[in-house]
This record gives sequence, structure tokens and C-alpha cells, in this order.
Amino acid sequence: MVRVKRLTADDARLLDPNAAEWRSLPGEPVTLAPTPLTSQPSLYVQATWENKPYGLTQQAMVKAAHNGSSVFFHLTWGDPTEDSEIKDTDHFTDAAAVLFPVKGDAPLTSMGSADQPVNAWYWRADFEEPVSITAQGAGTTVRHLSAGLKAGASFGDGGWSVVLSRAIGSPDASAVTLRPGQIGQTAKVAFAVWQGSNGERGGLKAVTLEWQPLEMEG
Amino acid sequence: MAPPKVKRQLAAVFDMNKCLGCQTCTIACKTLWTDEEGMDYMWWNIVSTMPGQGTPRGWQELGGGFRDGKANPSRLPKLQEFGAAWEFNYEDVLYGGQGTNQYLRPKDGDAKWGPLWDEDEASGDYPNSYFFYLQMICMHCTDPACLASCPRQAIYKRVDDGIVLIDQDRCNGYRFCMEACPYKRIYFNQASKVTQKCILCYPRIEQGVAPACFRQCPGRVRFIGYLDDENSAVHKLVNVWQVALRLHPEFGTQPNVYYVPPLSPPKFDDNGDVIEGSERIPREYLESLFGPDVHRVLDTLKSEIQRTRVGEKSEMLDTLIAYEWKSMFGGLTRDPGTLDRAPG
Repeated sequence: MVRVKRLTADDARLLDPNAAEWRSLPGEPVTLAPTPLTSQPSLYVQATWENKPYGLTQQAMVKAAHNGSSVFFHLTWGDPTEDSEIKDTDHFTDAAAVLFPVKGDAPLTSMGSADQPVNAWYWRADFEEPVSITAQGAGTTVRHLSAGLKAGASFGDGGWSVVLSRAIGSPDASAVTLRPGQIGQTAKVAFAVWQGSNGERGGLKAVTLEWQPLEMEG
Repeated sequence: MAPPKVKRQLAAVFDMNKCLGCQTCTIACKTLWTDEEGMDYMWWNIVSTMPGQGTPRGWQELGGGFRDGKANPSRLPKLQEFGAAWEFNYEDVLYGGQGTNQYLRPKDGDAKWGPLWDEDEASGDYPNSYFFYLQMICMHCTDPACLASCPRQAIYKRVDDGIVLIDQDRCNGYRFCMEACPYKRIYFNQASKVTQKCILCYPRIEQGVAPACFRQCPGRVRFIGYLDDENSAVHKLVNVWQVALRLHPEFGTQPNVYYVPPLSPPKFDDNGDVIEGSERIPREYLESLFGPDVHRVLDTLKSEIQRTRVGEKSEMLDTLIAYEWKSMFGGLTRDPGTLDRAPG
């Protein structure tokens, strides 16, 4: 269960992953596991990664809050290397995502389906801004720029702390609706982490294998 | 995954016997397509000296393509292996105040490899040393490994001409295509964070103009046309006379660039006399590039040359010589100077 606490603090403060408000909030440890090889949509990826470990991140600490106007997800995970910029043609950057069903009972492992899309808030260490992504099945992701997402990130103590944020409500029909007091069918969330130094990108990631129930305080 | 279906396929034939290694094709491409930020290390067209490492370094040994019908793993080459553009010490030379003590050279540590590092480096022992040139662009394969490897279907093969393109909007920069291409003809743009490659000058093709590297070649090395156009030189060379071969057919992607393999000058014996009938370039080496068919093709070319030496006509050799340049381009002969182009 991921509880979104009601806090009294402005957006700028809650976007700082090291703010005191976050330190005093209890976190929920979330177990991550590699996305199954068989669900990788590319046979090349399946053949190449058959005997190579990926999805190395085994756990993330999740905290969540809202201040009445915006909602914030605070993720912390261990990563031995900071990969904040693409340094070479064979190098990738660290990333994380918070995933929601847009409506109904969208399947998680296939990244949604044709009639049940999912919406991801995708942070990547080398991006200036996080990106809102919708998917209707693996390999179908579409990026929506200017979706009003914001992020704050810091690397230290052997890992990342990242805050992903968006206004409460819904910016458009493609994005998830979040509102205070929300519990139930659509209030679910999942998480994913990519370790750039291990060549993790696309479907090569560590994920929560099941939706986590979400509860937003009123 | 079944190969994508197309109505027609554009194909190229490169006659390796006519290549001067002048890189006019390389520069024609560079100035037209890859002069923007993030593209400085890109050579969508490159002419490598063979036997040699090529670019990226040692690409022939990196894997990719298909083996036994299955995707064959490979790896991503590093910028150094492609041969990153060198930085030179212009500041020191021009403004350093050291006069002639300072000379222009690559900055320390940069000059370890370049895309043409081993250019014109021969194999074999003098006086029987040899080398030849290998011209490379994207092969616009019938079964592109890049297309099959992309989890986002960002790569597509055009139905009307078989040109393989990367959708720059769909590309997320995962670079699986770069790995999977056994010819290593795909580059990653670190500025725009997407992969890019030869587009066979499709905007020119669409207006009846041959691609820049074909049109600019002073040696008349490059033929282009639709494989099913019975009037095209490409059709005749590939399908009728069958003297143009695929490079590394064992890679399994069915490339649509074909090569007329290089003939050899004869060897000299210890007295400096010509050994009649000998060939400098080892057949085994050519077989490693073009497969066992290379023997038949070289024998065919030699017998055609012999025929003309005794006064007979050879339509095949006339086609390869290309007395009239328009005969090489399968109808794509419009003058690029007549195209409407937006300023800038």
C-alpha cells in the first residue's frame, strides 16, 4: 500500500528529494524484479540478454505526498554508479518511472492494452524534464511533452533520490487522474528503475511485478 | 519474424574494380547529411581499405544479423572504435605565442584510431602486396536486423522502394538497432539522442535524382536501380549476368548493395618476372567476404575480358565500363541542380 500523505509545503520544497518533509515521512519498501525476458518485444533483446543479468535494482523506498494542488512520489534506490549523461555510444543513463493505469484494470506486465492504457511518469538522469508516457501494450509507448511533470533528483550515499510530481487532477484524457480521497479501482501504482551502467533501457529494467494499491489522503 | 514485404526494391551495385579510394562519395554524403551537431563522427558512406579493420574497428567480427534464422547477439561499438573526430591544438598554434615551436597536431590521447586509420595499408609481401577498396553505405536489407531488433517499431522499410528508415520521432535511442546491424552502419547521435544512418538520399530518389554518393562518384563505380526493372544495369548485373555479389551473405539479412569483386594483378616471382595466371589477392580472402560464388564471378569477368581482347563484344563489360553515365542510374538521372530547394 502506497499512502499519499497530505502535507503543508509548497511545490519547490517537495520537489527537493532531501527536504526535511521527506526525511520525516515513513517510506514503504517496494520489491523490484527484472521484467521477464519473454515479455521483451524484440527477439534480438531476448537472444542478447538471455544470459546477462538486468533489472539489477532489487528494492526501492517509496514515499508519496500531496499538498492539495500537486502530488509527489519520492523514490530512493541503490545504484553504485551515477550515470547522468550519455558518455559514449555504448553508455546509457539511469532512469525511473511511476506507472498508473489510466482506467480500469490495465494489465501491468504488458504495459497496458489497446483499450486499457497505462500512463508513466518517466524521469531520466540526462533529461531536462520528466516525460509523460502512455502505452497500450509493450513497445507502443508514446511521449507527451509539456504534460506538466516536474522532477527533482539527487545522487549520493550510493544511490538516487528522485521526486516526480504533477498537478492533481488530469491534464488530458491520456494521463492518469489523481485526486485527494481517492482509493479503489483506478488508484494503483507501479514502479520501475533502470541502471544505465548495466545497459538497462526500454524493457530491460527492474519493476514491481504487481500493481501497488494507492490511497490518497483527503 | 517474417521479413517486411515490399512492392519493389531499389538496389545498388558497386564495381570495386573502378574505385579510386578518393572518398568523393564520403564527402558528398557528409556535406549533404551529417554536418550537424552530434553527427561529426558519422560516416553514412565510407570507403575502407581491405584487408583492413574498417569502421567501426573490426566490425566484421562483432556479430549481429541472423544465424540459423535467429537473432545473433552483438555489442555496441564505442566512439573510439568508430573513430571520433579529433580535436586539434588550434589555440596553441594560432594564439599561443610560441611561434614555430608549436605545430598543429591532435590533442593528446585523441589520435589512437580514426575511421580511415589503416587507409592504403597493404597486405602481403612486396612486390606482391595488395589492397583494394570497400565502399559501404546502409545495405537497405531485405530482412533488416535493425528493424527486427527495435522493440518500438521505430524502423520501417518503405513498401514502394524498400528503403529502410529510422523514424526519428519514434526512436528512443535504445540502440538495439546499432547492435543488431551486422554491417554496423548505424550511428548514435549524442546531441539528439536518437540513432541515424544512410537514408539512400530518399528525398532525391523521390524526385528522380540518384543519391549523392552515386552521382558524385568520379570513377563511375556506383549503379542504382530497381531490381525488377529489366532495363536497369543493376538488374542485369545482379540477376542476368550474376556478377555482383552480397557482402557477407552469411550475416543473413539479404543486403541490397551488391559488389563486383576485385580482380587482381598477377604476382611476380623471385626474378621479378610475372607469374602468368596468378592473382595477388588470395581467393580465400575474397571468399571470406563474398562467399563461394566469388570464384565463378571472377572467372566470368576474366573470360569476358579475354573475349574483348580478341575483338569480341561484351555487353557486360560495356555496362560495367559505363560509357554513358546515365546508363548507371536506372532512370534516376534528373539533374539535382533543377530541384526546387528551400533557401538555407
